[in-house]
Amino acid sequence: MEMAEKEMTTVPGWAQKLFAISWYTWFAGITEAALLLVFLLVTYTQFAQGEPRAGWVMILLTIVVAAPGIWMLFGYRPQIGSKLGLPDYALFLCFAIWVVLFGYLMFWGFQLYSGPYGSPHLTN
Amino acid sequence: MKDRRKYALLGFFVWWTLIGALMTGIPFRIGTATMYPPEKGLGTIPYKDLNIANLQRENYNDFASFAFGGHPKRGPYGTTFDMVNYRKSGGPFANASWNTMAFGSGDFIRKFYGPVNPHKVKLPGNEQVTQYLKELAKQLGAAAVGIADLGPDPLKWLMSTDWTGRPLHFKPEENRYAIVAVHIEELADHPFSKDMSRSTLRYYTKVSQNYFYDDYIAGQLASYIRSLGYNAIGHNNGYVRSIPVAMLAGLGEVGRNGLLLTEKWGPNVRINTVTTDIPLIPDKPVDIGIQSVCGMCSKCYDYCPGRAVAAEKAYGYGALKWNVNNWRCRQAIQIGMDKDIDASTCTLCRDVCPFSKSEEFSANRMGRWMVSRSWVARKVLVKLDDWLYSKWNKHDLKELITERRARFKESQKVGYVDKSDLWMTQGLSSEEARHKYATEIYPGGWKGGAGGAAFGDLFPLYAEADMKRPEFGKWPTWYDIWGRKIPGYQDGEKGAPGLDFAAVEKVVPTVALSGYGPIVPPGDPIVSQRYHAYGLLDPMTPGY
Repeated sequence: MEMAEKEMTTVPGWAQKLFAISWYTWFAGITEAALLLVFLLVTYTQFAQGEPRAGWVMILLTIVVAAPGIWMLFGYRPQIGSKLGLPDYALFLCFAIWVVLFGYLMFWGFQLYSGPYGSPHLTN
Repeated sequence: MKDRRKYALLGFFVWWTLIGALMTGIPFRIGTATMYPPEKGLGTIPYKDLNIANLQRENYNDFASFAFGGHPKRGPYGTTFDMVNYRKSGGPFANASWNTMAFGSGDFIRKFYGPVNPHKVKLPGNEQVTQYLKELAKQLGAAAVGIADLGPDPLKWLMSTDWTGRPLHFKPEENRYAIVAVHIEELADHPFSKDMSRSTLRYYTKVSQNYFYDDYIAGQLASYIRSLGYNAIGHNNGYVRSIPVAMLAGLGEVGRNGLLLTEKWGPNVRINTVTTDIPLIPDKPVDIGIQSVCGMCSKCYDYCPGRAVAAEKAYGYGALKWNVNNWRCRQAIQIGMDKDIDASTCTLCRDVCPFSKSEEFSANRMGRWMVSRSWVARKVLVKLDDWLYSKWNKHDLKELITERRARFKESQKVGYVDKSDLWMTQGLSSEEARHKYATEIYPGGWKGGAGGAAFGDLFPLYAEADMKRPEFGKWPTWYDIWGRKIPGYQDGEKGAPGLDFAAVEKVVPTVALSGYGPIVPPGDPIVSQRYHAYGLLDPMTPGY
């Protein structure tokens, strides 16, 4: 009887590892997976619809947007109580790039520039 | 310092979750447009003086002028075989493909009109009938179907004349509702190839297919409703103001380029309509972010070779919208996509539209869905469109447009008069200027036209020597399946049937053939004159 109870409460090794992952790592991990999924889907779409140039731009964007998250999850492990170092500056840089990128996409206004073919309503 | 990794990961989570919420408009939509009530506007478009109908165009006669007006008189058109054998530009494979495709279907256009069953069938209920008819249209090939309530005065949604200028007599009480169906027309590749290629085949086959679907769906639906005992008239792109009616039916919004932009397929749709008095449950106009996106995007404006797309909104005939200058658009079509290619193939405003990306890919569908929900997504994705597909060389169109713009300017130098202040005119203003352009800049001038679809080809299609060949413009002798000999040019002048206009008719767009209905009496002099001007015989002429 005692043996049976012991067997039922045994947690496999892989599950123990999962439970050991902190809640905020789970949150960040799921966010990263979602980001990767969306960006890779868009990247794939560009090649599939015959737009290789757009595909390469998307690969670049995927690296800028999603790669830092992977590094944060697996590579960024500062000691508690330690001084700020290179990895911390890299972290700030990542967030700064994202803020600038999104800010540019979001707030750079539409203007009727004169294009290479001439401005349609101003010339001729 | 405390656990910096915890704060970094939490910051990562919060930042991208926030961006995700902003981009998708979850849980709240961001930036919805004003929806105007019927007396003040149509969907997101306000208008003055109840002048909804002018969202699109004045009347069919004007549209016919746009499509067919201002042609110089042309020489013999040649047969299909002449087009393949002797046309100077293009190659035999390209010429054969676009010269043999049938556009639209006379059989189904004839089903647009007809007698109504005098015994009305008992209907199960408005809602069931609406669902049933929508399903029928979808089974016939429609991608989406909407119902528009045209109100007590439906005539303002309908054309006042046919393409010959003859008044049309729609009865208001018989046309209260419009069943509007759209079906998908995929983009063609650019630039159009001059000979054997997938692009050439794709362009002409998809246009051919979609003119057919227009007629097929509307014709079948109209005759079905008439057999139930209710009035119904089918329309392809003629006699009804398709875009406003489609907007009223909730199928999309009008864009900067003047086209109907749907949420799922963007501008890649064609519209056909059935107006009827069978009682239906109407749909309502939608806000899917088109007005907002078009305000941020300038692709069609930038790429239009005729500079026909407006920079800013204005009240054009009552409605506040971007008014396409159809006169300039017409000029651009006449100049042609390429001096060697059929002139009717522009569609650049559609090709560069961010909404024209194929709906087959879930990523594109996701983008449109985000745009319909969030102003933030509109800002970001319009910019992303520039990054991905290039702002100034989208789909490698730069060379094509540069060449076309140059020829457009050439044509201006030799005397095209700008009538941009007029919304719609006869297209070309000066026959002499056009002749000068064709004779001095491109010596040889007008020798012949392609017949039908090649409206406005500025370049000679045939050499003088070829046109003097005995077989030019005539069919060879052949035998039908009953073994009867059909005489051709080999049988001498007496036996030669001359031009086969039925063959030429095949390449005339459906819109030109809408006068087929019983409202046009056989052998009518006006219609005959019109047909004759385009090298056609009046199909209602006895013996045709």
